[in-house]
Amino acid sequence: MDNFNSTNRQIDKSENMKPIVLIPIVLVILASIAAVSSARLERITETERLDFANMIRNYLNPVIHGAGIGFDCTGDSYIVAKFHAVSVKVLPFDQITSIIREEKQKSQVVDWSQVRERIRAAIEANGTIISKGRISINGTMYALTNIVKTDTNFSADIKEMPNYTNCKQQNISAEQCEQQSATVGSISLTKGEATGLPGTPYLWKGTLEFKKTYKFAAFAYPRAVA
Amino acid sequence: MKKLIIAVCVIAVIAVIAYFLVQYKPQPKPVEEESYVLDDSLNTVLQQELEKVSVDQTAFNAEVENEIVNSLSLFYYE
Repeated sequence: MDNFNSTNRQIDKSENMKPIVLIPIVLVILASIAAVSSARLERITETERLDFANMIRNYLNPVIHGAGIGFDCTGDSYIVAKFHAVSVKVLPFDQITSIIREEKQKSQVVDWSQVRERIRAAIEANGTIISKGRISINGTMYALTNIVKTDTNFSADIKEMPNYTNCKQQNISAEQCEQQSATVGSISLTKGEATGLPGTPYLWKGTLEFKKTYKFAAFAYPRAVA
Repeated sequence: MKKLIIAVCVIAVIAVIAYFLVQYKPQPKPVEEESYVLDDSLNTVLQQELEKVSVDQTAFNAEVENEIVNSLSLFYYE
């Protein structure tokens, strides 16, 4: 009976010991996590997000913008559209991710302003100019891709608005994201006569393909927007 | 009798010529004459409407540019 009690006491004692043994293990794990996280980028704030947007804005220039109306061949239905295309200097996606990865691996604590400055320098050195655009058709916004703009011609594909947030989560670049989006139409315009109106817009005429073919005429400006 | 026939023929010829003269209407010169249709009051209304379009277009451009920079900048941080 005594032996039985003694054995039971030993089992109880070893069970009481378990939490005590676990405490240093947990502490070691927590210390490791803290050490690793201290070398990582801090969570980005809303202000820092805006700083990145403003950085991009500095490299943005208007290309063409206008508003117009299109009629189908029978003249039975019409379409109203506004469009705006810009050129913007950007950095290839792999370079952006590589800069962020490098900053993350640094031993000292870094912040997003350091990353932004490195990206700004990289844009200045290796940035490429691309065209981006949007078109609002009967009040719904669509993306313009494959934009070609010369002194006398403007053409682009019309696509559903891409889900950039989803693409970013899947590590897909903005350009790939736009290419993957469904094509819903196209626009092709040729510069016509001067209108003599304030701001010197010209009459641009051509075709708007959107579910059907519309003959489209628009007042369009090459001017920069204040 | 001869005189009567000649008189009827002359009258018929005059009637035909008169008919064609009445039917003839000179075509208006569209460009010059239509420009006179826009009087001052209509010009003012047109100018006001164009100014509205201009303001609307500028707001639209600002919206587009904001959307573009916000969506592009997403790819510059994590």
